[in-house]
Amino acid sequence: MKHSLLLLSKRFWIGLTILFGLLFLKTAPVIITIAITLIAGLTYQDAVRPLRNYKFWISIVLLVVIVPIFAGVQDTTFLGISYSSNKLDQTFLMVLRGISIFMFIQVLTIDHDSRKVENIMRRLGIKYFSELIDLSRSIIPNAEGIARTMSGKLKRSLKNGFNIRNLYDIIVDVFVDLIRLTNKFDKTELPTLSSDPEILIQLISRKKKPLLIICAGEPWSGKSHWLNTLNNSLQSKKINSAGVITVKQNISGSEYKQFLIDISTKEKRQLSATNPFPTNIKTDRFYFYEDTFQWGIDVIKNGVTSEWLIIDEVGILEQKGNGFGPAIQNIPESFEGVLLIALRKSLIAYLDQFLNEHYPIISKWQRNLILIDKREDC
Amino acid sequence: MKRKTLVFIALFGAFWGISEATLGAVLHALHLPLSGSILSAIGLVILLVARKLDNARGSSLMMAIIAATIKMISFSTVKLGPFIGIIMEGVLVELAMILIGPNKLGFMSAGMVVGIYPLIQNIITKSILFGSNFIPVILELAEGFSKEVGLGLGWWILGLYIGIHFAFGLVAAILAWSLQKSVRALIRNEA
Repeated sequence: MKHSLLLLSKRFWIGLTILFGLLFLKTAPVIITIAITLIAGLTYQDAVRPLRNYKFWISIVLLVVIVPIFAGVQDTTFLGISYSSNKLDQTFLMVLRGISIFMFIQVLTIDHDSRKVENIMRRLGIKYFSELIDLSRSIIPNAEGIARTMSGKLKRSLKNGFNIRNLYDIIVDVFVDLIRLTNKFDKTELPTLSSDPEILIQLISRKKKPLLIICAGEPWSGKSHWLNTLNNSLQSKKINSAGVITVKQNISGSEYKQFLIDISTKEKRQLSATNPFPTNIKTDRFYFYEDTFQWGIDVIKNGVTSEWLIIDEVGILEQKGNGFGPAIQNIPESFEGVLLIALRKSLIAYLDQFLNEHYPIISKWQRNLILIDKREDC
Repeated sequence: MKRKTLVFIALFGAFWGISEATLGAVLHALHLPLSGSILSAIGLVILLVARKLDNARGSSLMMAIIAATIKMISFSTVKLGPFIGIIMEGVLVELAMILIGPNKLGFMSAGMVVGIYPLIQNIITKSILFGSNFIPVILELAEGFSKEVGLGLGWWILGLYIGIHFAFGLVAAILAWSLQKSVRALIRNEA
């Protein structure tokens, strides 16, 4: 019990203290408000930052200065100005309550990692949310480009004198650009194959090689699990396969580790973690071990003579030429097998650009798509 | 939902989120009054034009969820006010589009409702902070000011404050209606 109490966070205890103060605010409002503000400010410096903004004080000045002058019965004067002492008492208490409650809310919400909001939204299971937020992530660089172009046109237009018609035309152009971008991202010309491993292996055996297969799905849709199942089927048929598969392990709450597995030797190494550590390879959520990536790259390079080469997964890092990018670039023109890469669904729209820019040899191969939609248990 | 609609929602939601994050920071730095209403109006234009171009049920709400998430991630800490404001804007536009449709009346209705919403959120927030007496005190102030100065000036100022909010929403809705016509005409010419 004592151990459990100690484990409760600082935020919990500060919040509880302030709540206690709020319950007894009427007994000594000025002292309790000052105490609450001091506690909040000393424990979370940013909690009192809004006090520096003039907007914070507008309502307070309105209540404490303006209202007593014009509302109620003016029964007292100060510096020649009549005001209602009754109204001042009332509004002063309201202001003290307002500041105290504001500090309470600040303590509860300040310094939370705002990225957790995304995780919470995913967990709520809002329909299409995961797909949309991943898609919007891949779209954001283009949307930012449109916003920058608009800003540039606006500045040039303002330099030549403000003109409402020009401003209107700029806004119309922005929307037209956005629609053109929609059409670009909507293009999915890849023929889709069955996700049943047995049927897939049979189909592929009749196709011309080399061949690129994209295994696409949302995060946690089961791509790695499916790749593992496929690899087991390949091995049972004595079909030579090589490459790497990733496995995620939930440690607690939103804390994860990822492991990389050599599918030939079953050797396993930690690839990444959500807890920060010094590394040059990182994304919004994960910090990657550079030596594990190098090991994975070597595993892939050694697998270029196999019939099936599996890479789990390719994404944002490879877009920047990092991650497994160097291994993919090393795949020779003489490769005669099937290259199977796992990819987030939202990045399919970028596939052409991605392959043409970084992997010109692979960009010429025939491509097929497998969609993984089943939610993984995590 | 069709893939094209999902792409549409993601794109316009992302654009709205980026606008909120960047313009919001600029307006905050400039300490402009009514910055919430300005941002709300910009969001309304994006929502209404997008809805006219692709009238998929639920799309406005989803755009708001995406925009709110992107805006939230742009802050280093959690700020509930803007998040709730954006989501509610999506809810209100969604309701207007379902009940009335993406026509002129639907646009104007959405405009009025979204225009007044920042004021309503402000009142709710202030009532939570300062107590349920906040509104009666403000109304007493308006009455007292009117009696003191004459001409019902207190009520005029209050009315003007409310009117400005309505005006933001209506102007945004009118602009959105005009924009969607121009955009559709341009796209038809390109096709």
